[in-house]
Parts: sequence; structure tokens; C-alpha cells
Amino acid sequence: MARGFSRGGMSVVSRDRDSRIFNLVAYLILTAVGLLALYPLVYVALMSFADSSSISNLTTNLIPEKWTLSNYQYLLVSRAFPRSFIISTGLMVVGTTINLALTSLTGYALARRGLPGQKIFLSMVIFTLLFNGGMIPSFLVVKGLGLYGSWWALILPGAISSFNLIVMRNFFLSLPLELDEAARIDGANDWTIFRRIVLPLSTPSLAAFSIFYAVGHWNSYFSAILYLTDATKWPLQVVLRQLILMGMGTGEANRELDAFLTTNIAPASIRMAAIVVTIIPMLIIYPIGQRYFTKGLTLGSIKG
Amino acid sequence: MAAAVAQPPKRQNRFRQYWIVYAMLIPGALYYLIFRYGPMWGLVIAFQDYSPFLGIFGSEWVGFDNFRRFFSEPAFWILLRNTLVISAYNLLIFFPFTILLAVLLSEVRNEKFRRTVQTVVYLPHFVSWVVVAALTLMLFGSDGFMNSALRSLGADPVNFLFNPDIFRGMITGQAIWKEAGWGTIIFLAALAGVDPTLYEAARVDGASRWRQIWHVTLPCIRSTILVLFVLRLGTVLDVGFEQIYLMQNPMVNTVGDVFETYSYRLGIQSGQFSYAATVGLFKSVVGFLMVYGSNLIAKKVDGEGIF
Amino acid sequence: MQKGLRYMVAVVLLLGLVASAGCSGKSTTPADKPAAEPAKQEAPVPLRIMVDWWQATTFEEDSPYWKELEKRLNIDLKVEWTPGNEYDTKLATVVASGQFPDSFLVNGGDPNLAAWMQQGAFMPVGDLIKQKMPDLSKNINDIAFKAVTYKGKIHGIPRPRAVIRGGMVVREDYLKKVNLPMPTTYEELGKVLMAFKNQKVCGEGKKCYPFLAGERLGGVGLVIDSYAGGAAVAWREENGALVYNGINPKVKDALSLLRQWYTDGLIAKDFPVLKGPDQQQIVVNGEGATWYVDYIQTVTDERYNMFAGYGVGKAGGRLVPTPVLKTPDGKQLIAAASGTNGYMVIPSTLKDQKKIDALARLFNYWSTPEGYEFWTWGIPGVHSTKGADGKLQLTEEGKKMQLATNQGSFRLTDVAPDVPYTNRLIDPPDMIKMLKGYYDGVNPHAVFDASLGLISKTKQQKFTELQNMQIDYFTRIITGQVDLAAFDEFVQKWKSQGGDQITKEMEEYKKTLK
Repeated sequence: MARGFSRGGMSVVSRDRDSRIFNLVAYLILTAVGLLALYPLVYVALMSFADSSSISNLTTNLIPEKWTLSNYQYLLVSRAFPRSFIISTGLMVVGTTINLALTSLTGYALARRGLPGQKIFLSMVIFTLLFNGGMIPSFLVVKGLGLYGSWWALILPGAISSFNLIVMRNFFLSLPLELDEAARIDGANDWTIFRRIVLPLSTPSLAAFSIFYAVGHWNSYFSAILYLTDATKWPLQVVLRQLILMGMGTGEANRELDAFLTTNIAPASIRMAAIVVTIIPMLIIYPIGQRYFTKGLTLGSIKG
Repeated sequence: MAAAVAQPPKRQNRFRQYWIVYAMLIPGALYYLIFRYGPMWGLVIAFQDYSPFLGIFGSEWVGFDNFRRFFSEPAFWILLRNTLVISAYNLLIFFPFTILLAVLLSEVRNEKFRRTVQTVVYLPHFVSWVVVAALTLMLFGSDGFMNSALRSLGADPVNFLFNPDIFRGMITGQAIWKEAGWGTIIFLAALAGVDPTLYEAARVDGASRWRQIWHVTLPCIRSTILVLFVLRLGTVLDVGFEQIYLMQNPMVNTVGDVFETYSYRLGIQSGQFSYAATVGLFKSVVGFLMVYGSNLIAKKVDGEGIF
Repeated sequence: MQKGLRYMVAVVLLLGLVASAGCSGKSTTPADKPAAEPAKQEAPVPLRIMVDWWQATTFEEDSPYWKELEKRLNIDLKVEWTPGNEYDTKLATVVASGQFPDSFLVNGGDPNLAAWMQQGAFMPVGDLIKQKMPDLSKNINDIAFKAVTYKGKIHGIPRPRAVIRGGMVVREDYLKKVNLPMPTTYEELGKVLMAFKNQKVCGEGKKCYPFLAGERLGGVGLVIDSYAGGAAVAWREENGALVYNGINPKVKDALSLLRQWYTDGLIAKDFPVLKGPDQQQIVVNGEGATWYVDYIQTVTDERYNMFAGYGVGKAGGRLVPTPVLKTPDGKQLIAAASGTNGYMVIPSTLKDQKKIDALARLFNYWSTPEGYEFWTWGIPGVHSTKGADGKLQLTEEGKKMQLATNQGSFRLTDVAPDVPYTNRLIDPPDMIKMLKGYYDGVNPHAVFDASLGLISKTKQQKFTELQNMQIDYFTRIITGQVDLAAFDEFVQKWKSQGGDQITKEMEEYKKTLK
């Protein structure tokens, strides 16, 4: 893969300088990007602590004049909140496990060279990437299986994402063939190869897909509304949305606001608090996954 | 063992050889059969005048009427243009930017810096589009941050939100802020698989950092870039619904109305499921052609496509 | 190792989920009722109902309140609370599945309402209402039945609401500051707005929006409606024919006026993108002087005033409703709503008379004196106690209860509102009086949509787009992006792109009603 370079390349000295310039530029760009991403986030976080009287623009003052925890209190005091948090966590863990298992198994099968019928199956997968029956037919299938009202209706219909499957397959295909052949010569079968070679070498992509699937479950909103009948089963995003709507108080529901609520909560800051609450678990997940993105982590095994 | 492999495998032997793989395929196959192909008959709704109460069998069959109506709408070409242009911005600006960001991140030596920036740029993904729209209003509204700054500098205020010419750039900018970090994840995973010794070789040959990236890094993640690009082409008419819906206003609708928002208004909001299905089917067919077409091109140009 | 741990946790949670899925919540068989219950002639009737819900928690079905309710009505009540925002979509899927609850809500604005009604999905309930829901039907405005009347039969039980519920409000203290009386005409309003701007009522250096309008012609729509002869997206009857208000030439005058106000800086420059919460925040910050609210009680009552704690709402910073303003040619009108917030329907497949009667009992209950007390005060001793002065008060438990029962969704069909959105048992009399004064003042000027209940196929297909086109044109005219002459262009397009067709179909349908 590395092409030959002309011997008339850079001298050591200019290469070091070039490297330093490159580093400088890289750090600058990344810092700028990081700050740009950060500024509004900081605003969101700060506003989530703001008393309604000090909601301001990004323009005037970033720091609220009056601080309050009532935005969070409002969210946390609701009985529904801790319950839905646990529900979402459970859905995320179970769901992601199923997602990963199915996607990697199927991905391996689709990447296994020479498998008869593979092309057909692959085409069928690609077809589902773009064509789907729609909301009502999917609903009818779920109902027909007796899953209506159960959390399984939030996990099973989305068990494999065709997009992720194809990309996963692609990752598997890029693993060196020599490993496969070497293992077979040693008498390994597909299952062993899958477990002992493919999966360990694929930790970066597995980590990436876990993040995708996990976040998908964490954010699940519409399918929860569609498939659940018992309000006590609502996951986090549904509860948060209801709390935000409640706090807007401009609808008919206005009378429902407790005295506690009308005093210093602005609808905007409830949203901010909801976002912060949603982000915090993600702040934990990502760094865990990040560890797998270190370069060359998996390549040692090829040499061995 | 080697001798057995050298023989041309008989059909019986082939299935025996692969039975484990088939076993691994079963759960996925079941899933696709039940949950993806089970509802596939729903595509038929586009050819009917569907009513949920009457169901598929009770609803009237109208053949291609819905499509005729869709293609003869004066809005159709405007929607097509808007959708394609915004998609083009996405493919040509957003997509490369994500790659660039991922590459830069992977090039940085300082672990702490890298992890911090990586985490920070991925967080905006969790800020809902509603809040992004509100933030945009605060920044770019008539009394917003930018205009206040302009005023204090003595310049005329600019109406960012109502200007059709700025709209697409605004949408892309928003998408970059919110999703670029998220988009780097898959590329970071791909970059993790690049053999560091290749860099050694390149360095020895006298290549600068930029050339290393160009000649080593990018080619190594080429297949990932390719597969993601092709898959994105499949969703070329699917420009993000929620974002556009929130940013739409009468002043920019000539450039801001896309298929998804149109389908939402005429489909869901008007209770016309058939019409929404028609628009959906149209998008699917176009996407499908794009994916297959680009895959063929990739095969011709490169020798191998993604499937 | 990490993976192993993850699998273990997954298995544990899996088992947990399976276990919880296995135990099916409450059993609905009467045999589960505690034996200590006094013997009834019949077993409680099991009912399953689906309604919208706008709070995060719902009533626990094993709470004392719920059990008491079930006991009094001899029912076993299960409710599927569905988040209100997505109600219509979820309903469509439930209908498609063919398995209906015993009763469910259909929103007045649900695009499928007319179609489903025509297809025979709903049972006629006209007699049921008259005979078995006497207390509820007392104050249901006739207009509420229009949208659910087909072939002379009524197919839904309205959730009755005020016919006019919102209006324009203005900052009382700002009005005092500029020393002008409450405007009674649009001309006077213009003067007031100008004074607001020139005298910087919001404060020196602060942002100020004399007329806080919002997206989709929020606020300015009121002005347009007045000139148009009714809601700009509705029809009126003129000489026996249906005429669409939005293409009334008088609308041009309204647009011209609003254009002028916009150029003069009296209307918030960003109004086409200001959403509800944005507007709210502006009002909270004291930057909005005139505003349009959907529900007048949002701002009129100190206790329920959402702005109470913000300094707005306390004496001085109050928002007070304006009267219905007059146009230059003397027209004084305000567009009326449909008088309902959706309909509870009974699927035509329900044949069990016991269930139907039980539903009637339940829907009527809240309007009876006993039921009214129940949703206000709950169970004596648990939710309310007699205070030192002999008057009833809510306990902590009671407050939580009221939070839920106050929702119209909980009371299903809701009480027949005497003074809309007030509770005669618990609200201060002077607040009720003030609100009554407001409603009495605006109701005589209410103008109804003549197209209510008139079914047109093209309307379902094209009206949403026509409405959007209307909003687009009007907004662009007001902001000055296009000329006033664009209005004529709009009229042309409206007529040729389906408007005339819709009017025609509705006229024809109307003939069949005679």
C-alpha cells in the first residue's frame, strides 16, 4: 500500500519542521473546532441552572444572574423520571447486546468468501436499506407477534440496522485473508475464527457500532410511543418530552402547574436541563468506546 | 487438509463446509424475514387510496394515480432541486469535513487533548434540533448576536434567517456543528486499523506529514470512505426532516422545502398515507438506483465496489 | 473481562424484562376484587379507553382515588395514556390494527375523522348522550356536534370547551406608562403600539416588541381575521353561498396595515420564526408589550398565571385582555373555535350494552354534583380536609391528585364548562367573575366557521397545502419581501389549485343535508 517515494524527499531537518508546522495547524484547527462545539454546549449547561428571570441571550451575559436548581428539581422530582432513566438504561444494555451479536454474526456470514447464496442475501439486505413497508405495516407485524405493549417491541424491530450491517461487513472484508487461511490450515472452523480472530481484531468497529446502537436506544422516542400502552413503561425521552411540554404551560394544561412550578422555571431552561440529563450518560459511554480507537491497537496480532 | 481444499468442492461438500456459517446467519435471516420483509407489503399502499380503517384489502386500488399527481405537482421540481442541492452540500462539504476532522484527530499525539476534543465535538449530537434552532435564532436573529456585533461595528444588520441565499449554507453549518463529531466515529474506527509501520516506511522515504496522510492514511480507509459515500448516495433524497422543518419559514421556503417536509405535511398531517407512501417509494427507487449505479461505477473505476 | 461482564448484565436484565413481561399488570377479572367489598348485584364492567396525555406521570391504577372511582361507577377502568403530541399518528396505527379499545379520543383536527366517520367506524351516540349523559349534555354547544354529524346521526361525544378561549393581551403597566386608554379599534391599537415604541416602555436600552407576533401568523392572524370576516382559514355564509374568508379583498387592507406596522418596527422583526416558547421568554423578559394568547386564563389568574413568579402578573406587570377590536368599517368579530377539544368515540364494533352504559356513566360522572366534587376534592380525609375555618383544603396528596384530575384528558369528556376553565368549587369567586366577564364580552362577537361538518374529499387532500401557501404569502407580504399586489396572485392560485373545488364540494354536500 505504501508507494515508493522519490529519494529526493525532504531532509530530516525540514521534515521535522514540517512535522511541527503540521502539528501546529492540526492543534489549532482542532482547538477551534472544539471551542465552536463547546460554546453553545456551555450555554446550554449554564442556562439549565438559570432562574427564569435571568434567561438571556448568548449576547448579553453568559453567566446567569440568578442560579437555581429548580429546573433539575422539576425533572427529578417527578416519579416518572428515575423510573424512565432505569428503563432506558436497561433497554440500552439489552438492546445493544442483541444488536452487536446479530450484526456481527450476520456481518461475518456476509463477508465469508465463497458462501453460496451470499449475493442473494446481500441484495436482500441492501433492498431493505432503502425500501421499507412503513409505519402501519410494521406496527401490524409487531402486534401480530404479540409484542404490542412490551419493551421487546422497542428492541426487536430494530435489531439490525442494514446500514451498520453493510459497513460492518466491509470492515470484516478488510481483514487480511492470510489470517483466515492460516487458521483454517490449523483446523479452525468458522465459529472459532469468528470468536478468536475476527472479533478481537474488530474491536474498533464493534466499539463504534455499540455507540451507534446504544445512543439509538437511549434516544428512542417515537417507537416507544407507538408500541407501549402502559405509561409506567415510558423510557426517558418520552418522559422528558412530557415534562417539557408540561412546563410550557401555554396549553390547556396550564392549570396543572403546581405552585412550585410557576415560580422560577422557564420552559427554555427545562429543555436545557433535559439535554444535560440526557448527555451525562453519553459522556460516560463515549470515553469507554474511545479507548478502542487507538491506532494500531489490533495490528500486532497480524505479525504474531 | 490442504489436499482436501485443493479439490473442486462438490455441492454437498460445500454446504457441509459452510454449515456453521449458515447457522450464524439464521438469527439475522429470521430477523430480516419477519421484521423487514414481513411489513414489506406496505409498499402497496402507494398504489391505493389507503384508509387505516378499511385496511389494505378494503382500500381502493388507484394504480399510478398518486404518482401521476405527485409528478404533475408544480412543487415537484422545486422540491427535487432543493433536496438535491442540500444533499450536494452535505456530500461535498459535510462529508469531507468529517473525514478531515477524523484524520486530524487521529494524527494528534497528545492523548488527553485528543480524547477531550473527540468527546466535545461528539456531544452536540445530543442537543435536540429544537434547541439548535433556538440557538440559531439567538445567534442569527434580527436582534441576535451577529447583528448586534454588526451594529456595534457600524455595519448594516443582515437578515440571516430570512435570506434564501444563506439558507442552505445555514443548514449545512448547523449540520456540521451538530453531526460532524458524530460522523467521525466510524472513521476513527477505520483509522484505528491502519498499520503504523506504513507510516514508518513513508517517513523513511522522506514524506511530509501531509503526504503521509495523502498516501498512507486515506488509501487505507478508502474502502470505508467508499462504502459510506455510496450508502449516503442512497439517502440523497432524504435530507434531514426535523432540522429543515424547524428552520423553515415562508421567506425561505422556495429553497427550503424538501421531500420529507412535503411528505409530512401532505401525508401524515393530512391523513393521506397513500400519498406519503408514494413520495417514500419514489425516494426509495431513486436511492436504490443511486446506490447500484455508484457501485457499478466504483467497480468499473476501481475494480471492486462495495458489493 | 469486559465482554463477559456485559453479557452477564445483559442476561440478568433479560431475565428481568422477561419476568416483567410475563406478569401482566392488573388482572381485569372481577374475581380479583377483595372479598371485603360489599356484594354488588353485578360484577364491575371492564373498560379500556385510550386518550391523550400531557404529563409525565399518570394516575396509578392502584391508587385509592382510582379504586374509589371504580367502586362508585362499578367499572374496572384501564386507560392507555398516549403522549398527546403523537396522538393522531398512534391512533391511525391502532385503527389500522382493527383492535379497538372500548372508547377512544379522536382529535377534532385529526384529518381522518371525517373519513372514518363516513366509513362507519364510530357508533352513533346521539341518543346515548341525550338519555344517559344528561349532566354533560346540558352545556354542550350545538356547534360542537357539527364535525361528528353524518347522515343526521351524531358519532362522537364532544369534550366541550369554550368557543372563544384566547385573545389579545396588553401590558397594563405599559399602557399606563404611555398614558393611553385601552384601544377599541385597530387604529387606536396602532397609536398605542407607536407610543410603546417611541417611549421605550420596556426600558431604556432593552429590546422591545410592541406587537409580539409569532410563527404561522400568530398574533397578526387576529388582525387578518377581523378584516376577513372570520378566521382567515375558514368559510362564511353570504347570501346562502359559502365564501372563503382568506380571499376576501378586505384582507388586503389588513395586510397593508400590518405591513406598515412592520416597517415602522412595531411588529417583532423575526416573528415568522418565533415559536411559542420563544415568545413566552420574550414576554417573561418584559420585552413584549402586546401579545396573543391561546388560552386567556394563562395570563388572567394570579394563581395559575404561568408568569406569576416572573414579575409579570403581579400588580402592575399584568397582561390584560383587550376587547374585540373594531376594523375601520366597523366590523367587530373574533373567530370562534369548534367548541370542543376532540371527541370520545365508541367503535361501531362494540356490542356489549353493559360496556356502553358504563362508558356513558363514566363520561357523565364528572358533570354530576357528586362527580364534580370528586375531581375537585377527592376522597375526604385523604385528599382534602376541613381547615380551621370550616372550609375544605387540599392535602399534599390532594394537590398531587388535582394535578392529574385537572387535565381534561383525565375527565375524558370533561365537565360541561359553566365558566370555561374554572372550577366553581375551588377557584376564587372574583377570578371566576373576571373570566366570565371576559367571555361574556367576546362571545357575542364570535364568528363560526361555516364549513364545519361539511365533508369534501379535495379538502382533505389539498387544504393543508393551501393553508400553508396562504401563510407563506401573507407572511411575505407583511415582511415586505413581496408587494401587496402579490395578494391577487395568491387569490388566483388559491382558487385554481383546489380552493374553488373545495368550496364547490362543500356546497354540494350541504345540499344533501337538507
